[in-house]
Amino acid sequence: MNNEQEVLSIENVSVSYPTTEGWVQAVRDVSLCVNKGQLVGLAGESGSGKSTLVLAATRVLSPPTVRVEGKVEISGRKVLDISKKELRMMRWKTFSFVTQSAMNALNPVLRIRTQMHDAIRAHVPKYSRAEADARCAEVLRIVELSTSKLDSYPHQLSGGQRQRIVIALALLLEPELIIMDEPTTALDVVAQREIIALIRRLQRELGFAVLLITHDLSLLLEVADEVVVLYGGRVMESGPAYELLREARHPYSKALVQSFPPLHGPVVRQEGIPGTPPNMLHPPAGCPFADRCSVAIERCHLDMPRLVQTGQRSIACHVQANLSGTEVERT
Amino acid sequence: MYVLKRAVFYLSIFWAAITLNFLLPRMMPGNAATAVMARAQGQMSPQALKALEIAFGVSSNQPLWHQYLAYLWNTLRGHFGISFTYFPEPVSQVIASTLPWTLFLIGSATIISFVIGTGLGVLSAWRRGRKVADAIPVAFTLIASMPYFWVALALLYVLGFVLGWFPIAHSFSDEQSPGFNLQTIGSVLYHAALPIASLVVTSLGGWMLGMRNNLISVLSEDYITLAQMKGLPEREVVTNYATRNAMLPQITSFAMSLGFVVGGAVVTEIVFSYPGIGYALYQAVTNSDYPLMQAIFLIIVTAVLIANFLIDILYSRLDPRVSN
Repeated sequence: MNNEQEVLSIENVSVSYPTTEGWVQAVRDVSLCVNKGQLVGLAGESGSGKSTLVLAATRVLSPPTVRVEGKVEISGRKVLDISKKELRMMRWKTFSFVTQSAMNALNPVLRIRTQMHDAIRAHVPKYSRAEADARCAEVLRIVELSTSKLDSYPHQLSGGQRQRIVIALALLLEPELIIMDEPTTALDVVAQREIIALIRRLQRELGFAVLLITHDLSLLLEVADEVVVLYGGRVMESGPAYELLREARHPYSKALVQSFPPLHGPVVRQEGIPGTPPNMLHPPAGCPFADRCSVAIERCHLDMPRLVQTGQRSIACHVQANLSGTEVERT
Repeated sequence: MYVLKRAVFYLSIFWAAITLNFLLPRMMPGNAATAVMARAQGQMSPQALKALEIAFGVSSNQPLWHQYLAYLWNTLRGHFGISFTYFPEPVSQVIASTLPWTLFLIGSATIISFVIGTGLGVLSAWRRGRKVADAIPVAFTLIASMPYFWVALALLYVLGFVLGWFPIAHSFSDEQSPGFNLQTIGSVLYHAALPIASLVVTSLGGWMLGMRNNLISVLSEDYITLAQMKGLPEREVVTNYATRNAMLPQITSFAMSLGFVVGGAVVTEIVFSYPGIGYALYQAVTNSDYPLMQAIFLIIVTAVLIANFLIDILYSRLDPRVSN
């Protein structure tokens, strides 16, 4: 499956947390890949394991906090196997992050300039103050902020400005991949839209790849190239965004899409998804969604459906598999 | 602007403190002068009482506001009256001869303890999960829970008296002619070693645990994770990101304890017979030496205020959120 186009490839990755009652598997056997310049979305509700998957795959979470199995490659390097020092050198230069809460992602006692300079100094061998300053000013212009913000402290900036600073920080060393973990959660709806539009524009202009983690599937379907829907630590459905937008097939992604109101058209009563996600301490034997699924058959409660590829998309569902004719097992 | 505001704030507190210092003795039955008369058991003439009243500024036939103004004027000039523990030395002289010793002894003990304790706290929090780092808090909680006077006496008895490695009293050797030379300095350090050690050993745990707790809570902040994601060298994450933020509450405690340095460790100076201001305070209390007590209280208040003022200024440099 390796090819030069892949910036990030996650293969059969499982992640477990230790608890007093033993290991809890938060992510089970998940595979996904991000190609150069692509925007791939990872969707799922709280507790579906989406952040855990990405943080463990990039070793932000590491033993003894978690146990990770599987294979992860970023720009052709096996991230789970390299030394700590190699990993440190790769970080920010090859892949950077935009974290969940930009509100707290910046050090309150250092100026923005200092927090950008230290990242440059850690990775650029011939660090010069003037060049670093020029680069800082450039990324601030890219995210449409005045360069005077470089001398601000985080508390002097608004939430939207801080989020832009964090994005600017992620662009600093021109990485191939930027991992964005709910980059808009802390913002109001208008600021959210602005930030998403900004990310999309920059991604097209500068050509980096993005792995966007969010619970907002409807937003993802608008902006992403590929979408992976996670539930109970497993991939439920994945495929091109336009395909899923046209027709989400898995009962879970269907329900997720339907829980967001359309902006136009008559007012209709919204259907939520009844029930709560499964307790991962005692995961169900069958499909994790079976208890909340409106079309579940007996088999769904007994064994876990395999992820089956049909055309460009993959679905893990017994009911759907019976409906579609051609089945190609994904390896 | 910020500094000016703080200065006005502290000046008004200072005024309140010296006013209280003036009022408190006057609210007690009798006054300092009659207390001295009583101690003299009729061997002083009534003229002496008059003289004492004037010297203490407690003359009962003057209106209170008049006494108050005189007190303020005297205080500002450093005229605190005459101590009768060290009669006839003026109080200002007693303080001038004892305060430097206390500043040196308790000051250096506080600084040493703060630096080592904070360093150990950083170490034990950052290396959490490793054996040595996890043993540090346990060991120091144990030591910190021993009563101070007991530790001081044990050190004095074993190292000073039984083994004879350290002197058991005074601030420098009798054979030393006081003067600023290497030998005197050596002798002073030698005499200070045991009291400083006793203070450091017992207070280290507090600094260590405080810093450890601060750092552990800072380590769960998102900016620490982001700093690690940025691939910064570990040393930089610990210093600029973790410690810089965890130090803020620690500095407040440091300011408080620096202020209390002047009050001296009364127990330390008694146990080690050290000629500091704590020892003088003890003497003043046992001899009802009101002028000396009042002056020492005033100095303690002043020191606490000055320390807090300096820390406020320093704090505004360390934490940009404060000055806004």
